[in-house]
Amino acid sequence: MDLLSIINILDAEAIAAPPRPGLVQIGSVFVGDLMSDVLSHAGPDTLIVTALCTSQLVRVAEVVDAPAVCFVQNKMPQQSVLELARSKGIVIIVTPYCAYQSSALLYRAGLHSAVRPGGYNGGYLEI
Amino acid sequence: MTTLTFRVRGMDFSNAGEVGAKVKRILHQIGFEREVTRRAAVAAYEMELNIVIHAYEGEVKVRIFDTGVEIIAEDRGPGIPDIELAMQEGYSTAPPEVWKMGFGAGMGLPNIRKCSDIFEISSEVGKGTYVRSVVLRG
Ligand SMILES: Nc1ncnc2c1ncn2[C@@H]1O[C@H](COP(=O)(O)OP(=O)(O)O)[C@@H](O)[C@H]1O
Ligand SMILES: [Mg+2]
Repeated sequence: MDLLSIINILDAEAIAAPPRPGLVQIGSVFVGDLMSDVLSHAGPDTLIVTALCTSQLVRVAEVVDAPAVCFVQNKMPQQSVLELARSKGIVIIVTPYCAYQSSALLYRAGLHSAVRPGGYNGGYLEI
Repeated sequence: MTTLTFRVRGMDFSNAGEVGAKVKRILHQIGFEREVTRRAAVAAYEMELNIVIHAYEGEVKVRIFDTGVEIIAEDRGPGIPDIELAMQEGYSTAPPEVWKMGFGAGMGLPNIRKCSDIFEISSEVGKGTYVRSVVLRG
């Protein structure tokens, strides 16, 4: 799904490295605040939804090649976090919704979880 | 072969994560496969953060070969009294002040092992810890 559609669905705003239409495609969603979990599950097609707006989050996104990060509940990161994201070309969006609501909206839009029980290359747990 | 050496200081969170990020960028640039790049970068990241969180200071050395990547983390620190316990998923002695930064899940060492084709760890209490990971292409 085009990241621009996701921005729409989440009533979000791109605050760093806004994507051009069609440029960033998202296929899965990871929701959480633990660095090691992000590293285990997120990948090149993952939108990371988190309440933790730190520079560490931007760095783990880069490590796993995740193209975009969404901060929930209108949490605004420090300027330095935005600059880091810009320098790495990672899109940062903020949504007014909480993690629960954001997940519900993205799930309803047909996106599946980035969490595979068997690790990054494992299968999905369907609900 | 290319060798990169990163000095890492305990509790320095301003740069924490840059080793993994740099490894990712370099391997990507020289054309390593995405999955190999990912595994090496994740291992490097977790090794770096273990020095930041659990040790006083240390070094992460990355050697890049045509056939893969070798990452060695060596630190001066308290060491690990029970390695088998430390390797268990979810086991962590990380201090509460790092939890709010998203650390201390106790998944770092298990993650490194999962990402590695060769994994070695040794430690001396009161001295420091040595971790070696090799990630192979193809
Ligand atoms: N370099 C190190 N020096 C001392 N102790 C370490 C080191 N690396 C890991 N440990 C010990 O092993 C435990 C598990 O490590 P890890 O799986 O990376 O989880 P976490 O870092 O989230 O605690 C740590 O909580 C710590 O007790
Ligand atoms: Mg760790």
